[in-house]
Amino acid sequence: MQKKVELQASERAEIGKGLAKVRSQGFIPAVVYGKGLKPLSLSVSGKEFHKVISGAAGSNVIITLKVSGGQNLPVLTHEIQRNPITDELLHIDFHQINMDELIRAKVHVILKGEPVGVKEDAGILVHSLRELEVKCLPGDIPDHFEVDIKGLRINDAVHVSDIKPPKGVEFLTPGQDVIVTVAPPAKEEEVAAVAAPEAVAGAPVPEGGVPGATVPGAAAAPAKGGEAPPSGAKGAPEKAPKEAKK
Amino acid sequence: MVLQPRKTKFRKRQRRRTRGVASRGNVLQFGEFGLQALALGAIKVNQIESARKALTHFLKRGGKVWVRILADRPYTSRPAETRMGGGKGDPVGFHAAVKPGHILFEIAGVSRKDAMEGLGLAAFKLPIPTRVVSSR
Repeated sequence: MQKKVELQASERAEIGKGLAKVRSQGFIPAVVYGKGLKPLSLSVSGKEFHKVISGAAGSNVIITLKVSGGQNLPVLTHEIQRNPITDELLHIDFHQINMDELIRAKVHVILKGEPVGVKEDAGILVHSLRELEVKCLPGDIPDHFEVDIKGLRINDAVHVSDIKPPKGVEFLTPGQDVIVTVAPPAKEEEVAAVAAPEAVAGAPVPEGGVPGATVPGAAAAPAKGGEAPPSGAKGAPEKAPKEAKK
Repeated sequence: MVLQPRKTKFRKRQRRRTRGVASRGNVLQFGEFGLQALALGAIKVNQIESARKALTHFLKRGGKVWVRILADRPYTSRPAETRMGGGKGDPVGFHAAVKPGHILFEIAGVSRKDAMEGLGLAAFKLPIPTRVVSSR
């Protein structure tokens, strides 16, 4: 169940290039919007916001935004922009919520245990869905979903439909979507490449097949047809330019 | 084998100035570990393939590898020992334009130690500085 936290925010007049100044002072530019609410440009303390989202529920925490004007707004973080290189927080979108209205949220999936297929058969654990989209009241958003994967063997999978949602929570992610699967061990390509020529050499040569280096008769064929010895082939490109001049 | 276009609408393409950081493709989507670009660059098909081979060869039978970049920009080159003039060179291959922050490769199903070592070997084959990122 959700824990409510408070976050101090102040209204912001700086926009565009002026935001660099806001960031240099340790604040993060933010915006809050919602049904019937005129979007408000804000700035929040970077340190305080880090504390808020570092909890178990991550960004699915109901925050009471205390805006400097005296407003108290219940919000959820809708989007967090980061610099991909430095991981620095660039901007936050807060979405004002009504505690009595159903909302959509994304909840993390946590895997528990090591599958038998990985332990004994060297399978590869592929965790393809890390978040599930749910529809519920803001107070009912789960912190995370735990999936027990100890019993999974190779080619076994856990689908969204295999998870039982808590009361009041509905999955919006399709039930047939795979959350986690154990793939069979991949074969190394070099092994396959070496095996292929051996298989060809051992097999009977087809009648209409292209003569290759392994067929004894094929090596003699060019010598019979051509009058010049093999070294003559090297001289051929030298003659060609002279002919062209004529 | 790394993918590249079979045919293109136009044979040659003008080079554009690339700047900024990657706003897409900068998050791990499939695997637990990834190789992230730290600079702008053009990565050729053979460099991607070379890095992929180094990675899969190191991982042997373990792990799953995803290549997150596609070399879809044709580049041209002039023949050796040719004087200037005579128009633009012929297309010789394709490269992928990469911005800082882009995830180039992802792997799953391996230990952290193996991931660091394998992705380190793959990084040797690439023309830009990179780093290993993880979802854990």
